[in-house]
Amino acid sequence: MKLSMKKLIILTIIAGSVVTVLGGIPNVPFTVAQLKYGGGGDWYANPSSLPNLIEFVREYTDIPAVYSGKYVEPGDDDLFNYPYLYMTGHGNIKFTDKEIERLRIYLTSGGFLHADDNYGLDPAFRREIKKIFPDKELVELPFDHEIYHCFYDFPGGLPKIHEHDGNPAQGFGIFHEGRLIVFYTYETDLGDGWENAEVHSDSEEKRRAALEMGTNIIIFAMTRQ
Amino acid sequence: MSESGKKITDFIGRARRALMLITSVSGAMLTLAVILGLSFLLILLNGLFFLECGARSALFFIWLGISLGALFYWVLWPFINIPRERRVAIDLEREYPELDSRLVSAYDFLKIEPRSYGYSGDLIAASIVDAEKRTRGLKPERIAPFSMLRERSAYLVFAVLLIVGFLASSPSVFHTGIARGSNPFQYIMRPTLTTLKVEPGDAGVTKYKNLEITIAASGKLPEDVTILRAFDGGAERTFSANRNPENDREWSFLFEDVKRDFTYRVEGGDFISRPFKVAVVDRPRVVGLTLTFDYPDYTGLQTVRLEENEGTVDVPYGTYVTVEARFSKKIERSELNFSDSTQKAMQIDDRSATGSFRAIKPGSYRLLAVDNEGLANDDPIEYPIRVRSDEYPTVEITHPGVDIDLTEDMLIPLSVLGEDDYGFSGFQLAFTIEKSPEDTSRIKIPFDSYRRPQVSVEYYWDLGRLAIFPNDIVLYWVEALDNDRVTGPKKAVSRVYSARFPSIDEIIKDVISDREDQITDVEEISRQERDLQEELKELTREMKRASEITYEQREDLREALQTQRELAEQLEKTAEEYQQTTEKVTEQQLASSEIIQKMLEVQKLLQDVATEEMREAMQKLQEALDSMDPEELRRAAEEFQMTQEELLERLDRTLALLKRMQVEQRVEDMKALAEKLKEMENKVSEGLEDGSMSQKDAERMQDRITEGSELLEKGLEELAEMMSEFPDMPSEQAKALANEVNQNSPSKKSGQCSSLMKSGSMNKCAGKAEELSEQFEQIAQKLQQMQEQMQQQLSAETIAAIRRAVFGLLDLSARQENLLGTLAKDIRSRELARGLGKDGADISLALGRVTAEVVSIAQKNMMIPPNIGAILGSSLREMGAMLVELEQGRGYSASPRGYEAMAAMNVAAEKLLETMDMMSSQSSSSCSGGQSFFQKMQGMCDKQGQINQSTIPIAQGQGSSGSMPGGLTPDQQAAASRLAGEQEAVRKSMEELAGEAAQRSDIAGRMDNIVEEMEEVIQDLRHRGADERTLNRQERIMNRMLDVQKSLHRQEYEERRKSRTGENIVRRSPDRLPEDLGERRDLLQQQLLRALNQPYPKEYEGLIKSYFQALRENAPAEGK
Repeated sequence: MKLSMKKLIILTIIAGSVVTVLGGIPNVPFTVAQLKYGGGGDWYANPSSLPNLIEFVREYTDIPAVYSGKYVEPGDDDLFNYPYLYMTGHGNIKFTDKEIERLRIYLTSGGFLHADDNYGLDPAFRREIKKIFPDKELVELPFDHEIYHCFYDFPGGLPKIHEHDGNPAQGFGIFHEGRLIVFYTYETDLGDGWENAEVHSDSEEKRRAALEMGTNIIIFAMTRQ
Repeated sequence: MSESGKKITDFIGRARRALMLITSVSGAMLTLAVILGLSFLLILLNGLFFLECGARSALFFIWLGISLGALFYWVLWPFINIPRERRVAIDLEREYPELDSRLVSAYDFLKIEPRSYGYSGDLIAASIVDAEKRTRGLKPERIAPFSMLRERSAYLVFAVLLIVGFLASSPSVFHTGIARGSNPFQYIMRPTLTTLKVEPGDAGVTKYKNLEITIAASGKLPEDVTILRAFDGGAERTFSANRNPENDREWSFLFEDVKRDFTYRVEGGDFISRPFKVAVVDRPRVVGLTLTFDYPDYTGLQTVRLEENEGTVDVPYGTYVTVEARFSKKIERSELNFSDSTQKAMQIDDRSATGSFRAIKPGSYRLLAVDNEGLANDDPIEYPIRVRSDEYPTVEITHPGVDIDLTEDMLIPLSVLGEDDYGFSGFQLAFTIEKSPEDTSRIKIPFDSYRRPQVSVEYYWDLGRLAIFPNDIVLYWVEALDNDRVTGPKKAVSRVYSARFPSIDEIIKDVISDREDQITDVEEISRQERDLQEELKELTREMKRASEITYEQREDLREALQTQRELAEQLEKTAEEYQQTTEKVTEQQLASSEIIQKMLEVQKLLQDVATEEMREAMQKLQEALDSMDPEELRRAAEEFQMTQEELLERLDRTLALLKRMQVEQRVEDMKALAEKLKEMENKVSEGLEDGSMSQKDAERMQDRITEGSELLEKGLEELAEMMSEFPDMPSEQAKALANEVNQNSPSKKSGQCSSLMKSGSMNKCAGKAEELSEQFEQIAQKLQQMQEQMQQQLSAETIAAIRRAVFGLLDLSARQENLLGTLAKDIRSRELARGLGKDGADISLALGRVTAEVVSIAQKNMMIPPNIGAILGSSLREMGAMLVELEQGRGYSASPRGYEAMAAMNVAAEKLLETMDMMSSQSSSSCSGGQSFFQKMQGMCDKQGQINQSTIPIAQGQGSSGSMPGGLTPDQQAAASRLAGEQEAVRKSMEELAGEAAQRSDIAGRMDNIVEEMEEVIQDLRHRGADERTLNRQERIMNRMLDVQKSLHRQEYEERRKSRTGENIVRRSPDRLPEDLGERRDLLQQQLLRALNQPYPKEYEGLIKSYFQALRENAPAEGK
């Protein structure tokens, strides 16, 4: 079942690429960037995470994902060049009114944000995302949600990579017109799991689980309606 | 002739002249009256009727004949037919009968020769004289016909009135009559039913311009109007004119891009206009216009060339605008005419022209061109000039954005947000110390986004280099300059914030006070929880006894639930306050990592006092209260009571741990205080010795030390007292230390030192300072020893207690297993079951003792898992249930309960073993090298700061000399070379550090450019000296180093909070996603808000809310 799902997704991506090429639209690789935010929090945390994740995705899925190598701010002109944003940190987040507006437009216009609580981000993230989407609620995704099964199978939901408060890992989402636009991973610390092995000395099994879950998130963001 | 004869002749002559005059005048009047009368008739006829030319001519001749006849008869004839004198004399005789024919006789005598008729000459003379006498006094004019004159005047007046009346009553007929009557011999077109008025009729038009013909119809309305155009007498082409939709009597037609002369006629209804001529004038025309904007430097914008014929100038102030125009023909001259009446000549080249101007004020311009025939371009377009002025920038400090207390590292991470329309030229941090506001200093904040309208700058401000002392307040703000180089940079100033340097004693006092408050809060919550517990017990008992649940009981339960909610909120608040205290302690570096770790764990205990089960029980109770089922309510109340008991247990444990922590923290506080005081004392000594500290500053610092020492003495006394409440703590040792410190009172010594300073005895003071420093060090060491001793003792005690508990539990588990095995042999046997009851009771009793010991040690050591009490409690409950069943002889019911109890014992033993392993591994683990890394980084920051300071004079000297780069004096060259060497040393150290940091990619990542920037600075110093760029680079280096330093500090704190590999926690999947995916509910909310924003009467608002509430409630059921 798992294998057939993988094949199906790969075929879908290949077919999509062929259609894109035949249609004359430039085949732009899927570019991922890390979000830089204000407020004093360490937006720069986990610097080796994204490069490792992208390398993993390229190696195991043939998806032409590209790490931009850039920290992009919500106010940057090229924000819209990145269909996938990743944000993490331990501390405070503060978006200006303009940034809130830009992020709202970005996300409701097709952008995707994966926010990963690196421990301590939770209150600030919830506060700021509420400013971006005052009309929407963060809802916890059930374990049968596609994001946990679209490539690798996670029957019990998010893997727990790092222990902080003894709470279970949770994945929340914000939907816009039925589409998942923000995925918030809480109490799992996927980003730590993506970092170089020597940074946190996690077992290879844990790192692999984190990278596989990260792959799922990227594939989901690429293929969702 | 005699005199009398002459008089008579004269008399008659006068009469004849009067007669002729009056006759002539009255004749003229009559003639005029006749002419006017005839004219009236003529106008009337021509006005009312269209007369052909012949008829009009005939009428004219009639009018003319009668007029001339009248003129002759009444005006000229009287002059021709002059009355004879004798006739006049007769008329006079008739007028005056008293003359008695003497006048006529006398006239006759005067006319005849007397001798011819034989009359006597004398007699004749006498007759003449007599006649003359008779005429005396008479008026000969009386014979004139005055009555006739009056009569004819009346005729004339009548005729005039007739004409005027006609004109007034019907002017159009009058004018038409005049026009036609006055042109009797001209062909006049027969009047049509329709008349068209054509504008402009004959016209001149500039070549390639449009010509609009407008037609207004009067009379009968034609169905349509056509225009017949012909070139050079050629065939006419017909065009339909367009009726004006707003006025059906108007038409228009546009001849576009008229290129050559033509004629046109307009036809509509029965009307055909005469041909009109349109003459085309070939004026110069603008056929192409291109603007180029050279923006001023401050905008950072590239030169822009607009698309052709885009003539509007909308540019920033000071933009240089170049206008290039192409014309339809060769031109003689061209100029730009501005709305302020100024002109600017353009450069001519055959058919094109180029001109330019600088946009400094709004207005408009026109492009004027004149050809060699003197013809100017027609109606040149007026293009607007809009000048956007460079607005003032704004700047704000977004972080910290509030007044703060400085932390131990004396660093303030600043986030500055600047906004300007065209970007910035610089940011500077301005600050002053409140006590000396006249000295304001400024530091350049490096940034590289000059041209961006919104700039976010992060800057680490190191206040460690400032000469500030505890209790000083630094006021700071940020100034931003925009990059307007045309009118000069405009400055924005942020809000002023303050950073206070709190004294160590103040911080410690605050922390101590906070902790005491938190313990008091938890004690109060605990007391209230106990009261609540008693109430609940009583209530559930009553509810069990009675068959019905009364309204009062329900209300009491509701109140209990509310109280529990409030207590839970208070607990959360206390946990938050505790977190803040932990953060404060961490920031001020007042505690070791072990203590901070413990504080975090206590904080978590506080947060977890109200468990998820408790919340669920509260929810169930709430639901049961809302329902009417008494059984459900009883069950919910019991469950709530049980979870409340558990909460109380957790609370007791947390409180006990808090109290122990309070003591441990006090030891830590006092140690930190002693170390800090030592550091301050050393600073005073060194400052006085090397002269880096003024006497006044030294006095202030010493006063702070005195205050800190007082707190130390008092704090140690309190510590001894606090420890006496805990038998396992070294209270005697603490008491001894407190006594020793009191005897050698450092506060007194410090006070003396301060007095000596004030009296100028600096040498004596130096000795005291040294003594004090040593004393502080000894105190810190003793506290350290005390702390280690406490830790070791607690650890050993805990491990021993756990070991005992584990053995006890495993033993009890084995006994339970035996008991259950025996029971299983004949599970139906009531005797066997009852017989095993005693063994079960022994096991239960022993389990109670083990539980008590575990609870006791858990109140001292937070390493014991918080749920261990719950697990053992569950085991005890199951044991109790098993005993009840055994007593009843129901072995088959007792068995599963017994197995549950045994399983819980095993789990508890396992958890305790895990705790023991963890404690052992922690005590053997060594600390990381992070601190030394941090210290190295701190040292390098200091060094870099010194290099930066020393570079400034070189850069200023080089700049002020006005020499070329590199033009340094020998002294400056030597200084630059020395600094390059120092910078090289720091670079190498940084490189080594970066090598060490390679293992820590988070730090290494942020040190990337520091080494490279340092190399650039070294090159500058060696080859070019130092300039603004060098200073900027150095500032960037400093900023990045401080960034790394701050991160290291933060990382250290964070490391304590995290980084244990997580274990997957098996749990149920969250419920399926809500139908609205978190969106729909809010749509309803929005609609509700929108609805309520409408101006509905008040009474409708409630209805609207109810409606939306119903919709919301029904939404999931409907599924859409």
